Amino acid sequence: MADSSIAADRREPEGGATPPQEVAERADAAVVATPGVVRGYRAAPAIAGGLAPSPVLAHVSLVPARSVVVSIGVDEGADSREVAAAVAAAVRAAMPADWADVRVRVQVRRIEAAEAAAPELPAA
Amino acid sequence: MDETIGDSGHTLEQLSAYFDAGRVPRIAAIEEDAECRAVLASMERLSRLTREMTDEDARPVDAPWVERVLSVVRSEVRAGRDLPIRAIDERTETTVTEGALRELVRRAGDGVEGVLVGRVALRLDDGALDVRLTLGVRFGAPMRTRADEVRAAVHAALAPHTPAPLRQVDVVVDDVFEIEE
Repeated sequence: MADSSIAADRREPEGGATPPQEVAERADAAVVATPGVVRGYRAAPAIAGGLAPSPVLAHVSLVPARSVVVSIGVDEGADSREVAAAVAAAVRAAMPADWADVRVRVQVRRIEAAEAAAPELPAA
Repeated sequence: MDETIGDSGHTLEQLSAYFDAGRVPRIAAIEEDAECRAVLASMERLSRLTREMTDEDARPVDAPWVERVLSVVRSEVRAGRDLPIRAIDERTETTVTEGALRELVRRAGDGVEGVLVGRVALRLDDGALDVRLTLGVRFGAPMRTRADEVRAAVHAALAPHTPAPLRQVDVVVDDVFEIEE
């Protein structure tokens, strides 16, 4: 999957379209607000041995099709399948109208033990 | 150069030093990385077990054994394949990583007294999930009982998280560990 979240996210929107950066921010907000999610993880792949410079966790791609991928840690006391479905619905609902056709994938990356911290996003 | 863990840019050795320092000062690149967090959680359980063993026998635990265990953990915390949970519609899907499930199995098994999980293998076949794990049992502990307890713990832990019905959990005891002489 091409990584356009870095290259594209600061481009000027064309014709008033919502930029990928804002789409990713909306997805991140939807993730941490969903019950059962302990934390979000970076879904964007590492680039050339380093992390993407973007502070967002969601990975937004434009090609071959517009897509949003979010990676989550789920409370082990919850049901991962239900939590993932709820996150998918929340992310879908958070998308702006001009991104209504976007593909959404929710990846359960960890099932977290009770001692895990409260939901948090990385420091900017 | 040693391989780094996840996207953290830190090696297993550096992660071990960070753990030994009590995870302070906090390193965001480690604490926000899924693979690093899984390794740290395993280090915590391993540390607890070796502390108990040392307290009881007042002798150090075999260091190469600890290194071998961590090496296996390090290789199994990788995300691996995305296993499909549900295709909600043609544009929306949910998945769980093999790494997430392997870690859950390991945590459940390590929670049983006097055992330590070795390798964890998952097989998704014909719409059902099979788990096979190897186990080290502390010298003197009842093997069959411990294996049954691990199997039950893994079943209970995985049930709410499997992408397919859990069909079988095979437990192979392949190691007996003790305090070094």
